Amino acid sequence: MTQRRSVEDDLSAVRPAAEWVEAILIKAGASDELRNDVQVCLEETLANLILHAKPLDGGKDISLALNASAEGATLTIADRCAPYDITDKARLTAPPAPGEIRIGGNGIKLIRALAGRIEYKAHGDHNELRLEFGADAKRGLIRAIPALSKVPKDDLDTLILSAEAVSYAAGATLVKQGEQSKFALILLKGEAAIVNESVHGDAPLAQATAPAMIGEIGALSQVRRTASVRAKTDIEALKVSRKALLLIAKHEPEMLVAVIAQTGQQIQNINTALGLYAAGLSALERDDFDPSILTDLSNPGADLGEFAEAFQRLANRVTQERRSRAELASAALIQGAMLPAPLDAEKLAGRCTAFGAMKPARGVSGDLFDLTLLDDNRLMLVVGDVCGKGIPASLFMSATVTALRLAAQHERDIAALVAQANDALYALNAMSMFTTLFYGVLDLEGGQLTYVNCGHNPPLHVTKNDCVELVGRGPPLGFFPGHKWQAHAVQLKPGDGVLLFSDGVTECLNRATEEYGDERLNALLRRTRGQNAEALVRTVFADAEAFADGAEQADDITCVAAILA
Amino acid sequence: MEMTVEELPNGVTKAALKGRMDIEGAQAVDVRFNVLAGAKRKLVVDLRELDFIASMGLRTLMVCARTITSKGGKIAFANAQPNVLKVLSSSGIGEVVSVNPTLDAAVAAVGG
Repeated sequence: MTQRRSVEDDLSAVRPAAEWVEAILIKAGASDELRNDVQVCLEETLANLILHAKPLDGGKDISLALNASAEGATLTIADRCAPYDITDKARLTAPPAPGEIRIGGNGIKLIRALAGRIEYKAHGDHNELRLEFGADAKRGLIRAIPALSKVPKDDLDTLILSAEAVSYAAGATLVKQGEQSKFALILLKGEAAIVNESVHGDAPLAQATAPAMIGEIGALSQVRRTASVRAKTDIEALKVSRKALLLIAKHEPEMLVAVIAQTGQQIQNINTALGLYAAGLSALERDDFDPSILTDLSNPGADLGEFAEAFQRLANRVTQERRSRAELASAALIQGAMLPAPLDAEKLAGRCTAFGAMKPARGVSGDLFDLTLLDDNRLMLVVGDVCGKGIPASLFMSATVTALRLAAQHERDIAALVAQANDALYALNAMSMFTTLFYGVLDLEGGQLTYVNCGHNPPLHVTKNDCVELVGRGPPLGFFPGHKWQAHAVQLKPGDGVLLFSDGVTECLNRATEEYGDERLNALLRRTRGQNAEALVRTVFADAEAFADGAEQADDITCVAAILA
Repeated sequence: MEMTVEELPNGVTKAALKGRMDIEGAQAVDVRFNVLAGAKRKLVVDLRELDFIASMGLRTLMVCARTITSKGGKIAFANAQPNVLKVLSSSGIGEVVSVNPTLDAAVAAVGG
């Protein structure tokens, strides 16, 4: 039963009001703590009204209404003053500096700490502050949760009685992902973060601020916890068993309807998220992925947290890879421009066939070759291999080709030409790179091949009956300044050929990591004698590829062949 | 609201409060607390028989605490009942004034 009383606008009226409250609470059988909490809040509210509030017109008309039981109490204080909402967060003063002793500002803090639930209403002509304590506050808080707003008072009391009152310190884990779902939690005070625990850390999903119910879907459906819940502040809560939830559901189907509505909303969220992912995936496929899609996908709901992270990593990797592949492609384009133009068959005038080709292991190559007519009779044949692979090797390869071409403009003697290129490369070579190089010039009239070998694997001289290595080898290019290489010469007969190649051919590996090897190449050349140069080079490429049997190409492969008519 | 002041060894002063330190109670002891704060350097407030305190009472204690500490003195509370302790901790005063379960601990806290 609610009891009422008015209070004079004078501090001397506070104590009689407190005595009135005390008498009612004692009669109701309220505990010492409950009586104290109500009285502290009463004094704070009245002192505030009497000392600070401005009456709207005439008197302040302060009145009290108290409803008390052994377990709880509800105190309503009404007034006709200018509104002053103590539930407004802005009313809280900043915490004092360490060691600072602050005199005032404790009133509102105490009301917030001691009253279980506070409700303030400004009605225009009067205001009402409703303070709930003990079980009254719990009922009020629980009723403020949509799923439980219509539960009858008796069921609510049964729920409160059967529930276990629990408190958690800030940082504590309330619910652990993966555990059996045996209970729901009704948050009465404080804030919690709902997170998805993944190997990459916590992914925040949502926040729950009291009053709120969490974990009820799990408790009802008995699936394992799909997320963890951590206390952001100190928390007071009720632990409600599955049994108690089912009991409420029996009397109050509205509760189940609310839970189903919430579940439906979550499914809807997941469907929306999946739709976004599908759109994201096809955008990735089409190569017009907009990274801002990821922002839309960052909070997809409990079940998709880990998936969302994995998707983000995948999307980032795909876009990054694509970017670096585009860079490689332009590098390959630049490098392609360094390769020789196809020979003019008319200028060879049927005296020989010649062909060169390169197959990079990656987008760009560290191999180089050149095949150019220096004048009417002299055909230059060059194959080189820069140490290392990828972009750095390809840059050095370009530098080597440039240095050789510059030297060739003024120097006819190939040993001197190679030495000049070597010195130029050495001067530029900050990264201690080097190139193996075979530089040959074939006299199309006389059939003589003069050459310098700078550390390159020896080319093969294919004759009518034999297949032999071209002898004579010096150090590689770019490493030893001032070195003088020795030129060698070999006489080709009509029908003889020469094959220059990089070690990518003979060191080509198959799935069993066996090497293609010199023997196999040698045997192939003997077997296929009589082909023209282009057919020979293509045969070597095809044989190496057949040998690899799908194993990834580890090194650049380059061949240059010239066969006398 | 009653207040009894007693001198303990080593220059410690004990002020024992009894009754309700509500608005009227606080007004009743306010002046005497001001006098104590001005005169003493080591003050222990015994709250064993204090039944009730709200922010007006806290205000009286806090003014006293600030006066004493500002001149280098020390103040400590002792023997608060659960209800009073709850108000002290809710207001955060325990962070600036030593709150002790026993009188001996409070005396030690002010250096008695």
